[in-house]
Amino acid sequence: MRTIIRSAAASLFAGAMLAATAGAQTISIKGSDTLGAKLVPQLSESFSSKNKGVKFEIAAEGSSTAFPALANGTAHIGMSSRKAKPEEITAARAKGIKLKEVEACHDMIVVVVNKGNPLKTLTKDQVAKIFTGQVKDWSEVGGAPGPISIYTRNTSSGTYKDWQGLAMKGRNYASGSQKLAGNEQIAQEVAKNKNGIGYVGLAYAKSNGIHDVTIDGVQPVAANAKKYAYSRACYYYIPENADATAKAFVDFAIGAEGQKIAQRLGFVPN
Amino acid sequence: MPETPSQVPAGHPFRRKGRGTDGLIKFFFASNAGLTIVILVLIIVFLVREGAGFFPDYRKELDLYRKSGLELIDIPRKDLTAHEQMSSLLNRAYYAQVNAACRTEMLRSQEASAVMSYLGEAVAPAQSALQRVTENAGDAGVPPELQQSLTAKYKALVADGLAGKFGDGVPPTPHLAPEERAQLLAAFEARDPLSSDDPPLIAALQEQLSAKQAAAGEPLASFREAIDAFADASVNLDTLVMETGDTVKATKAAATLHEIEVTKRDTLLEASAKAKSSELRQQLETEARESVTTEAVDFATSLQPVLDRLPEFTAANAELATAINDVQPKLPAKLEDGKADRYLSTFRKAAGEYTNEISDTTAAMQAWKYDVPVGLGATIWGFITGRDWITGGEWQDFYGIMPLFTGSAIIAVIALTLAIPLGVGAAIYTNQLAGRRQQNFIKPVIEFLQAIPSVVLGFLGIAVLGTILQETSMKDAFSWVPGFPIQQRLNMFTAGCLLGLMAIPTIFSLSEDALNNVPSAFAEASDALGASKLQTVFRVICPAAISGILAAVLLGLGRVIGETMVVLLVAGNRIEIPDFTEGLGVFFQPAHTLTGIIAQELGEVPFGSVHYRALFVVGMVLFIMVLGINWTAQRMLHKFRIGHD
Repeated sequence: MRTIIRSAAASLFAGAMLAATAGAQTISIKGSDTLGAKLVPQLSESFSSKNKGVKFEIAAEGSSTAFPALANGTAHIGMSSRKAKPEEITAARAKGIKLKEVEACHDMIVVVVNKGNPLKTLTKDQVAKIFTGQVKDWSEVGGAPGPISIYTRNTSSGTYKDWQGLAMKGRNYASGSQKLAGNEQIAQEVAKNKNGIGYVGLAYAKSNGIHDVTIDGVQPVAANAKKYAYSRACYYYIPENADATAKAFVDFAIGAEGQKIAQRLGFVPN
Repeated sequence: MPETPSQVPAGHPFRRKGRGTDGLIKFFFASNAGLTIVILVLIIVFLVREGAGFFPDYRKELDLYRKSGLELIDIPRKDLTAHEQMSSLLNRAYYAQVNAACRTEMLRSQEASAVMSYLGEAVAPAQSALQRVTENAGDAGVPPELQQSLTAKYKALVADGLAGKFGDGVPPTPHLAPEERAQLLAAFEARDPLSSDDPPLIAALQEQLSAKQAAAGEPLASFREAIDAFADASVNLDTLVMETGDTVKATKAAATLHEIEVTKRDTLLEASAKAKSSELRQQLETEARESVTTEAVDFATSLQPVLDRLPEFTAANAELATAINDVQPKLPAKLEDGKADRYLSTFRKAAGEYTNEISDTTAAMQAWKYDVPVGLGATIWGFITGRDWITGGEWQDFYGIMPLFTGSAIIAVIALTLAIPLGVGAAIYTNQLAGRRQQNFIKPVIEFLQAIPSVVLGFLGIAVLGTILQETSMKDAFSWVPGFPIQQRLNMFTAGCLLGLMAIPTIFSLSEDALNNVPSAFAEASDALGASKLQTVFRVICPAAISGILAAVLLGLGRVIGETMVVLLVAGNRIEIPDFTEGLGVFFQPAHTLTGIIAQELGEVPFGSVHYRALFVVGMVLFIMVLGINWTAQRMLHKFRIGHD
């Protein structure tokens, strides 16, 4: 008799929990600032307008934060602007979570300078020299004289690592570079400093006070994604046994409608 | 110890349950005090435990850095960097000279661009709306009424822009002729709303500038040649470093991969031991068996191809030595432009040091041994005195706290320079000279400063103080101030000012207490001798309270060193030892601090990694510093206390 009561109580409790989660489901998404600052919030808004009762929690603090969160189960979906490292995948696997990689969209990393900077074009070599600190003055690359101030993302950012690989052949950043938390901050500081240079995702290159730089004669616009030197793919990471809503959201994001939103925000659809 | 009988009189509520009640109350408070101490001890134990693991781990990393040969390649890499710096100096000298000759043309071009970008921004809202509408219109075309309204809006914005009604008005163009300016404005007015092409005048001005630059460069042709020859001298070394760098990087990667695989196997086996279902256990075990696919790296063999190339390194190094000797006689004796000449003389001064640096490279490379183990002492010493904090790099992570420490120290100096006179002065005035009503006003107001959350002050620093300082520094009247005009909006000075503001209440309150504690007999005796009020204050009261005031300053310093939010937001986060050659201008450079690095990086590092532990050690360093400061403050209070016993 007692076991029956117990199991009944347990199933009742489980049912209540299920009902509670079904009533207001929250999907937690963590990781890249490039994806998480504009694109994913817009996707989630449009997704929840179609699926009533789904709520989103989005924390965009850099790609490296996605994987521990997925492994600990504190995030349903991870956003990353770089591929997961083997040790990150293993760490999740050891906790019984197998991660699936989904290409979110392509992004171009755009070099931006202050609006007042007459410089419109740079070569790949010049960009590498600027960010590694070999070139210290704008006049050395054909600009108006003035010491170059470099703004970069902080070390948790996937863009930080991507940039090191794409633009600097893996060399270290100039020691004089300033590390900032997000794309917006870089755009803001470059807009405030007439000698500033930084890099942002394509979606942020149109901010006030800055202008983008043509690299090796290729303008950083979506149409040039194939030719442009600094383009890369961004990813969603999702556990294989994730719940249906999280999966549905990722499908929506890489589906036609989601890709259209991505395109509108300045990303390059797959 | 026998229990003392209760002092509570009979019939009192405390007595109701017999002797136990006040015993209970005593126990309650005693356990609270005990708990606090236990928590404190736990915190310290936790800090030490997380941090202590750092040095062995870091040592292991450095050992791999040495074994795989990265350390060897870093020796010529330093020369390469030095060579780059030297070439950059020459280039800057050259361009400064050329640009000085075409100042007018440059200003003309810049002014014209400024006008265009001002106008472009003025019409941007309507223009981008038009572009969006046209792009999304498809085959049907834009609805005429929408087109019309947007065009009207655009025209209105153009008119406003041309009239200077937008923002600060059309930028002045003192170097352009009035008709040129008119031509620019007219070209803009006539421009198609959808186009963002610049008027031909802009291109013409640019061409004038290039022509002038070419002309100015002509007499410097031999200088240019010498610079290029010098810059090219590093090509061989560069290729060598690049190629051998790839080899050693591959070695390191292979060693790391092997280690990862071993760790993976161990983690999976551990997970399988804990797995709940047998199915999962088996799956994990299979994965574990398959996870190790590589063999352990034999460092001696993989390093051999690099060591074989040592003669090439020697040759490339000799090229650098020849180049620096060749270039010096070819440099112009003096450049006309002051700035250019300064760069050139810096180059000359640095040349000796540079020669020294490249001369010992070959010997250092030959003496280098891959199998000398890295000592623990050297690791710790490297951490304390290291000049690089490089993390997240592909080459090698280095943890050296010197740049962070100097950042913290300079900011503290700025803050205290501001806070000591203000805080102590205010305390002396309030305690000794002000009337009662003033006292009642000043004290709470200053103490209220402490209640402002530091993140709010940080916002204030970014949005108001930083911008105001930067804009003020641009004014010509202040050009004599070292470090002006301020390049970076976020810098140590702004952070120091805000931290000073935060330290004022601490210093004020404690100094005021110290002044209050001076026995009144001192003042009375002084009065009796006929001293004036000010004489009494500065010759008697202040010296008597000096220990308390010093302790107040030290506690203020502790507060400044430990503050995080403001420095994280305002100090500029540049991990580099500030350039002291700039004199007082050093205060206007950005920096990173001990607290800031923890706040910025702790959230992003994998739990338990070397980097994570390094941040804990930084925390320990901070803890020890603040502990030392507080201890000194306490000692001071006790040691120099007068008139109390």
